[in-house]
Amino acid sequence: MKSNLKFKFNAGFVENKSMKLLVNQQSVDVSEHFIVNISVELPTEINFELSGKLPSDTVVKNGKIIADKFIQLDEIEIDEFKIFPYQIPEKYLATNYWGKNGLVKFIIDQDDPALWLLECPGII
Amino acid sequence: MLDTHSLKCPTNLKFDYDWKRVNRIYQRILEKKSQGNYKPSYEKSYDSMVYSLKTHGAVISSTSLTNYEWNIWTGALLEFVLPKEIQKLSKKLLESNLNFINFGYFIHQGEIKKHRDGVDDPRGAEGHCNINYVISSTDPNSKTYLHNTKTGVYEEYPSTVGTAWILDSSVDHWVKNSGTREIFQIKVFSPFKKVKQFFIDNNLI
Repeated sequence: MKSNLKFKFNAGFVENKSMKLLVNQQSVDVSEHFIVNISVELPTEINFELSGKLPSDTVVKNGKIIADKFIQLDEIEIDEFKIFPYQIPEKYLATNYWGKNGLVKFIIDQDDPALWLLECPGII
Repeated sequence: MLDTHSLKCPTNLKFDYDWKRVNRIYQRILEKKSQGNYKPSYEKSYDSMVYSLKTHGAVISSTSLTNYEWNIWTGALLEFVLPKEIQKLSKKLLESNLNFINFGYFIHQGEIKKHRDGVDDPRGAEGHCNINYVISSTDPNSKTYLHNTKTGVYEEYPSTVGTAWILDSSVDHWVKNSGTREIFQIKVFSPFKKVKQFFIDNNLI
């Protein structure tokens, strides 16, 4: 089944620079608040590839982080059905706060989004 | 003066939709319900257990009116898997100042005993109507009966696949059926005359 996914993010900048994000190998323009729309065939795995963060991008003063590069996933819509990352089991999304370079996967392992929603006890 | 108005009316509602998707999700919900995944509570006005799907709906489960457990699925997750044309219908009902309550989907076996809907439900003070669309039925002789005990009006209609009737569910009603029926239900807590008028105004009768 085909589904339209919408991901809503916010990002942290250091010296006007953010982390870089590839979604399924496609480059995304990162801004303070940004949205990524993808049309996919289910089941699917969405790959979020993060790069461009150096140790110096976490700015610490007096033991407190005062600036940091990060990307945070705030909300997902699956065919306009709104869900929040904290409702999703870790096996489908390990974390929604991405402050390190690397790969994050978002997994929908069912061919119908409604069946997948039923496997998320935080939602239903 | 006694109001001897009719208690039912055929509509020309047709849903050209593959109901297999809805049925598949319904069956999975019932599986998960039987595994104890959903929190139950007793709902007096329907003499039923309500299994919560959190903010996304519920399964209303009754055994007092049927010989087999009767599970009605309602709420946002059902709306999510319904075609857009049906979702628009709920909007239209609300815009017409009708008290649209929800859509329901269920499969039941055998008869449904005599009952009135939501007797103690305060939302239904003005009236109760169901519009029942028969998706499938294995008993060609299945019939719905209505009886207004105050006026004596007694009516019946055949439960034919692909048809939808408005029925005044505030009066006694029951179903004689020896097979399995698959029903899509629209629940409106408004008087029968008002609901019927909506269907006339929208060329659905």
